[in-house]
Amino acid sequence: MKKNCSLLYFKVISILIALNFSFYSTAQVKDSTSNSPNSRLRAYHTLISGKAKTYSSFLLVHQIEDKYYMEIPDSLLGREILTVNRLGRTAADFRTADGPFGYSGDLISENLFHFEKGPGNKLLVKSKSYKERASDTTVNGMKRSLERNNSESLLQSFAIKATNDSTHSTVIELTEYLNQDNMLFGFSQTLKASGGLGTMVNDRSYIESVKGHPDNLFFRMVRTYNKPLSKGSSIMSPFTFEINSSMILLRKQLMSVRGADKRVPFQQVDYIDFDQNPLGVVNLGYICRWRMEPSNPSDYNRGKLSEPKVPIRMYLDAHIPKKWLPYIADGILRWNKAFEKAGYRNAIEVIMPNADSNQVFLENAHLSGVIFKPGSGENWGNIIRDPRTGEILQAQLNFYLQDLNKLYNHYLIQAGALDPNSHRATFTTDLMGRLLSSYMSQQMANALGLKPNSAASAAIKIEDIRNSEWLDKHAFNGSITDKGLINYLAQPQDGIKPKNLLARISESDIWNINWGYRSFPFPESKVSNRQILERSNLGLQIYSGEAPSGANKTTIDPRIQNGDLSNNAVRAGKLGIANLKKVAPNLLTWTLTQGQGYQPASEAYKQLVARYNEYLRYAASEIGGIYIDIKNSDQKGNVFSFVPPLLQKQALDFLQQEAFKTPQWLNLPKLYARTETDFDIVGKVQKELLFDLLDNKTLIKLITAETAGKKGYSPSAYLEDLSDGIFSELGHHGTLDNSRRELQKTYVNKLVILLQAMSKSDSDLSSVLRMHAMGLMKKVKGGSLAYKGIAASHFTDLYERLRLGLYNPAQPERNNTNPFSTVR
Amino acid sequence: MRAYFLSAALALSMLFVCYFNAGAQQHKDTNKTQTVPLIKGATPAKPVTPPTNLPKPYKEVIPISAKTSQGFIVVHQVGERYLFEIPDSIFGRSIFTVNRITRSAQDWRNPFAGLCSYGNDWIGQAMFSFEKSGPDKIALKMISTTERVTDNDQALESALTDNNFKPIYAIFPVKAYNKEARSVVIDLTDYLNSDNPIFGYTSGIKILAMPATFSPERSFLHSVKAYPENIEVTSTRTYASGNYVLTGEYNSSIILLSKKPMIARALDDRVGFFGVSPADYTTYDADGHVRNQANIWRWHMEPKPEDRARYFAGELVEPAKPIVFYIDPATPKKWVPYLIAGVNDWQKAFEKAGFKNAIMAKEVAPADTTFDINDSRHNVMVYKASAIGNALGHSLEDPRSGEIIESHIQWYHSVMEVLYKWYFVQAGAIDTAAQKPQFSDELMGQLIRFVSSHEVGHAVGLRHNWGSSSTTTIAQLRDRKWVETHGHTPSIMDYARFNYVAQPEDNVTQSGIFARIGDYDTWAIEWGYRLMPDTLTAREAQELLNKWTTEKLASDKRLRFGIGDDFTSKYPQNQREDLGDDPVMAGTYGIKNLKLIKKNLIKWTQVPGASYDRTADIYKTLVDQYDWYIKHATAYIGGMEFKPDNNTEGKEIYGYEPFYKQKKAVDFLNRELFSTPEWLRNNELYLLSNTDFSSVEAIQKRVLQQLLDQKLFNKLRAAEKSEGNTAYTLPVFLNDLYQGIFSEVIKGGEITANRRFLQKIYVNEITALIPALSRSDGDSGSLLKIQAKSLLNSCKSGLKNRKSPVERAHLHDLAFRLDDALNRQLRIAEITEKIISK
Repeated sequence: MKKNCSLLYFKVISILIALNFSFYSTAQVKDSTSNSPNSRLRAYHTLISGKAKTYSSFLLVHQIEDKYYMEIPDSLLGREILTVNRLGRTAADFRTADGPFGYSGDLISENLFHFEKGPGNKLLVKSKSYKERASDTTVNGMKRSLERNNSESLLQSFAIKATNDSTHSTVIELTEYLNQDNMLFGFSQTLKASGGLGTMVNDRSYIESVKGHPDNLFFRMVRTYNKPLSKGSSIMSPFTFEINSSMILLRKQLMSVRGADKRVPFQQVDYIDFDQNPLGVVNLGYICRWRMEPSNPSDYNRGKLSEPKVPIRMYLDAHIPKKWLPYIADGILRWNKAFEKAGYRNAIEVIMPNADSNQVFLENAHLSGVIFKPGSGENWGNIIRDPRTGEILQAQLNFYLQDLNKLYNHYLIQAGALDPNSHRATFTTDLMGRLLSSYMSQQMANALGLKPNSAASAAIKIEDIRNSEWLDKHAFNGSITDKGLINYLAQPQDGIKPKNLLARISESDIWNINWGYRSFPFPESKVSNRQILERSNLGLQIYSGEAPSGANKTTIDPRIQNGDLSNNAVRAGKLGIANLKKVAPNLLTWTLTQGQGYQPASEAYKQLVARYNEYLRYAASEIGGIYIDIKNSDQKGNVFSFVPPLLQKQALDFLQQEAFKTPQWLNLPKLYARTETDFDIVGKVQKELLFDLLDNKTLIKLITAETAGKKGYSPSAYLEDLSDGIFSELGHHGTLDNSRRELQKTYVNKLVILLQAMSKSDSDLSSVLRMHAMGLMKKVKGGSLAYKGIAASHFTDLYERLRLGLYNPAQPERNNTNPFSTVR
Repeated sequence: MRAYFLSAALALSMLFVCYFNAGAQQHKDTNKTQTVPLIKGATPAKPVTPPTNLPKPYKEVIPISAKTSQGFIVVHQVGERYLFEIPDSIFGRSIFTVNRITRSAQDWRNPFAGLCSYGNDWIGQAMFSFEKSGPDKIALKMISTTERVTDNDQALESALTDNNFKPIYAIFPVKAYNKEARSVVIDLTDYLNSDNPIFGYTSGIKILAMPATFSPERSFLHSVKAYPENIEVTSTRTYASGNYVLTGEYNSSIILLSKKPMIARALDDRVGFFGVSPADYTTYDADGHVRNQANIWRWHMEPKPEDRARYFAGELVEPAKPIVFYIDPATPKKWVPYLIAGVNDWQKAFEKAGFKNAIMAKEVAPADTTFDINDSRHNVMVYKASAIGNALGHSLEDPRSGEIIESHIQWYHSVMEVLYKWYFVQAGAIDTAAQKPQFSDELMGQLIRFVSSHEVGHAVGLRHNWGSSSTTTIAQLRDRKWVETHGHTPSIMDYARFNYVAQPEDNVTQSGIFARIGDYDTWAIEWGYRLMPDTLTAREAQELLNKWTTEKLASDKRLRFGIGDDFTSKYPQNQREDLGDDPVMAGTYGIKNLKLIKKNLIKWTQVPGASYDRTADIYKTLVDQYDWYIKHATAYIGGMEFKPDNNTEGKEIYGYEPFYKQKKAVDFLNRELFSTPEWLRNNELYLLSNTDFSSVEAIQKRVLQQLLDQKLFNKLRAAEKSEGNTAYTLPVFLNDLYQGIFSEVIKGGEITANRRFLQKIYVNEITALIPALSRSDGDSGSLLKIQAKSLLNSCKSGLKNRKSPVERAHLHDLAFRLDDALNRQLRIAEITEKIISK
């Protein structure tokens, strides 16, 4: 084998040498012939002969047999050009269950670049960065220094084949460039790597077609890549893609910008400004938004509604099953109401697909729309923006077929107790359609430039959410940008109409659109700030940052959580669980399709347990929580404050009741006997929650509050309360089931791990934990004497574990320190 | 840095060319022109006219001298080149290839079960189509069928098409157009004579199947012949790796698949048909339901058009195309009739599905010199001169529908020796015909017939059904009349070889000892092959089939499909090599028979004058057979039951083995395995051959370690969580085992060497587990500590009144090991605690 390899290596080297040689010789020949401008012009006419097929756009593409040339007018030099590359048709069997990338319509790269003439008869392709800016061009100004430090990256250099002096343009040859992996057209390097694509197979790749439109130059290419059969495998199998590349010219006239404000949830493009502060830099940003200008400025300025010059047009994919089209359109168009507040009528248009519009918008980077993906995925689409201004140039929303299944499960679980229409294996088109509308409204928020505002829901009272009349006028969700889609805490006796069970665009969303899109008189930054102040003075919740992903450990402000409802997590959790209790026993019957197996019930059960876990987690975040209200100095009040101890205690009580007392209502033997699920998934929820409640991060939050001198929840009292609940049987010698024993072991394990980890720490936490462990050891010892049988061996074991943990911390780490391992 | 990158990329792409140049002549040419200037140094390159790829006139490409064979594609041989003339109607059609070795290199026998290394072995298959792509170019594209649409949603259909672009495996320039015939000529020579996954080894299997590298200079095509439905390509290929050169002859059959796929039948978990498990494709509908599905593999069996009405009226008719197997002419003559009988035995089953003479085997007429076992139009039972003791019922399917296109059953010569050993250790006690060193041809023939039927079962689509034998009771197995009428298992697809439960006094004859095509098998064939009335829609047909299956299974327990092969074999009822509904009783009777055989082992198997090697071999088989009985019982401890149901019956699918069954299994192990099985000792043979008692001790050790394992603890925990106190719980199990292993330590009595060996294993296992479980959250850690503590006490008190020095040393050793694991760390903690608290 070894011999073979080296032979191969020799072959490659010799071929490479050969190649280099031929490059060299051709270059020499060319240089000798292309000196004078005249000869280059002559070259133009010889090159671009009558045989050429020409596609014209803002630049020209000439096709001569299988060769492609690009002719760039001089006026275009330096202008920003954008290529957007998407998958047109995607390789079969490319997507995997855990890698849902690779659908038709998926964005594979976007590139902003410009042409520039370079020395030595070259045309250069360069890209600029807009991360750092300075406009002061005076001798001492920063601009010159900045330019030295921000050299533009050179993406490619082309030899100029010919120039046409009469039309002032330059011709380069693209054939080879297009036929190999390159920086402008095709997969981005990172995506290629994450998708596991290997080398491009050039002899099975070709340019399929070129189309020239006035504003858009479009290439369709077929490319075959080798991909390892499985991860790390040396066996390659080919995957063939059709790639759509659209090239557009950005407008010379920049969109007017609006400065970002961290109190208003807009996405932004960031830059560092070197001019504003002579001694340092300022981090600034512009919000991302669509270019929206009134078609009738005078009407607009007089406060009348005006249509925009160019509305936001959303094309719908022709692949979307017909019955969902109207609902998707409805979900998108609901935002028009918000734009009316900002002074625009019909700001958004939806273009329905017709017979010949098969994905027309995919071929043009100027056009936006909803792309259908027949499978599953998590991606909420993407927006392409101008880095100079934050202007949204193109937005893509994703509609995954599997979203329907997710929506089904969400509604069945959260609204099953409230809407009898949900008690079926397949929802009616009307119900599913309404769910889809709300869901698309959610996604559209992202496409309009908004950021998720998970704090808004904390401004809504539980009484209102359960009040049918209030709901007729208001949205129960604080903001459509929050993940929550369903009114999960209304109770059956509240008599809420099904339409009020689904999320809507809220007052705060409308306010945000107005803030971002209304044109203000100059200077607009003052006006926009005044608006924020007015709103905050009214006591209306604004925005205090995005919810972190993950549970309790990373949540700081318990009001900012994805998908929670109302201002009281404990009461909301109780109501939510009351509803889940009505749903759980019916899962088998509600999801049943004759002859199709029990898979849907199993899936729904897992989702239900996950939902239950979320209710617990919303409350758990209260413990050690800190409220953050972003304010500038012209606003009154504190930015940081601690969650009142009473609320924290209530949260802990709630968890003892609903999580740690074995939730028998979730134990469904009938379901377990028919699916591959079991009660262990509930056990996992319990243990992970307990693990996090006893985690460093939680305890340190409490210590912080204590040392800040606030009357917070003292860590030792908290630990007592927590262990009193977990070991409640010890007090009255109650019987223990398997789940309780495992929970108690989890507690002791975590405690011992912490003790040992903190044995050299300088925090008070170490001492608090030690005292706590000693107290617990005594209690457990008592238990080991009072019980018989398995419970006695259990408490004896706990006693020994604590003793070793407390007094023999040097004992070596054992293999099995993970309490969630499958080993019991 | 950039420059480096660029050259690396170039090198990579050139590497590809190197790898590929065997296949693409045009590449070779360009490489040559590039290397010329390198050799000549400074002399400038001569202007070479580039080889034009443009099509030429048809007559220029296909001269009159061309050797032409007509098929769905016309193949022209011009010199050494093979030109494929593809009619326009074939573009886009699904084409299937199957590739085989026809003569294998002697030096290459795959250690991996002989995979892909014998003559006629399958090495790969593919489904592809030719498509016009780009000007004057033809692409060869692989077809994927993994995503399909359930309902008739046009939009969804086209969405799936756009998301399943076929990969291009090769592009060929058009050599010529035949305008009259509306066809296109391409040159496939180089691609056929290259190492590619379409006409060679399937890429996933290549690395296992052929470790050496393809050597194009030493590979060439013999012939390419077109027939109406298939094209046969034969070639010599050489693979080399260092000094190791493997040359073989290969065959690719290129088959045109029907335009419309056969009507498929969906896989049902309750009937044991092959299909891709868990699924070979995913269906979508517009409501967002995504389901994994599979079609069963079955032959396209239909009545002749004129018989159709009679068929649906319930008459027995002959199929339009019966399944015919040819017996490899290289098969030893005396076995041929039995192999044929094994095939023809299935006719009875197909009659249930409404077809008579549906399946048969034929001998190839000696005069027929044209018969080619590799011709894809033939199904063949291939006989292999091989030391492997096995047989394989291999078939090929149309990936679109599961239609079986052809089958080659592989028969390895040494299967006969395996059959001898099986029958000897399982039926040797009750069938005098088996009590000989060599069986009569009649008996061996019957055994061959039984294996032949099993493999043909696979070839008509049936999977193993290891659970089938669990539907027979122990009493039935010993009831001569019953078992001779019904057979000891309802399925020949079970691994339930022979009736080892029947005792000599039961007088059961061979028909009660042999497996045969049984009730389950005929039911399965009926289920898979009976046609649904034409008048029904696909959905109605599916519902009818479903209802029928439900009723039928409810009416007869013996029709149970208990799977095997895959993860479901972990369910104890689905074990291979077992019999009956009670593993403990079956094992007890099996052992009784083994005792009798063991007593006569040398007498019955030794050929006078021969060495003792074969007898020793058979002794090992006997120990293995004993091991099976142990395994069967062990699997019930912590075991689950599994009864597939697609919810039409509404029954439970998963359950746990009942308390008493598990407890009895532990008792069985204590009795038959851990109480030293002295009867297996064969001191006479031990002195004559390389056998000894360690093979039995190895079983003891393995099983004890398996029982003291966290995996088993987890199973018992799961049962307790689900069933509470009615379950066979971990504390009960641990105590039962403890009482068995340490009975004489607890109650007194001699501790023999074998028992000391077992007790040390036990102590080693738990002392390793105690620290490993010290941070686990289950009960097992706490319980093992309690167990260890009481064992420590027993050892200590045993030391007080035992005199034997070996026993005292043993108990002392155990006590030390246990104390160390239990107390050493705690003692340090205790002292520390005292010092601090003072």
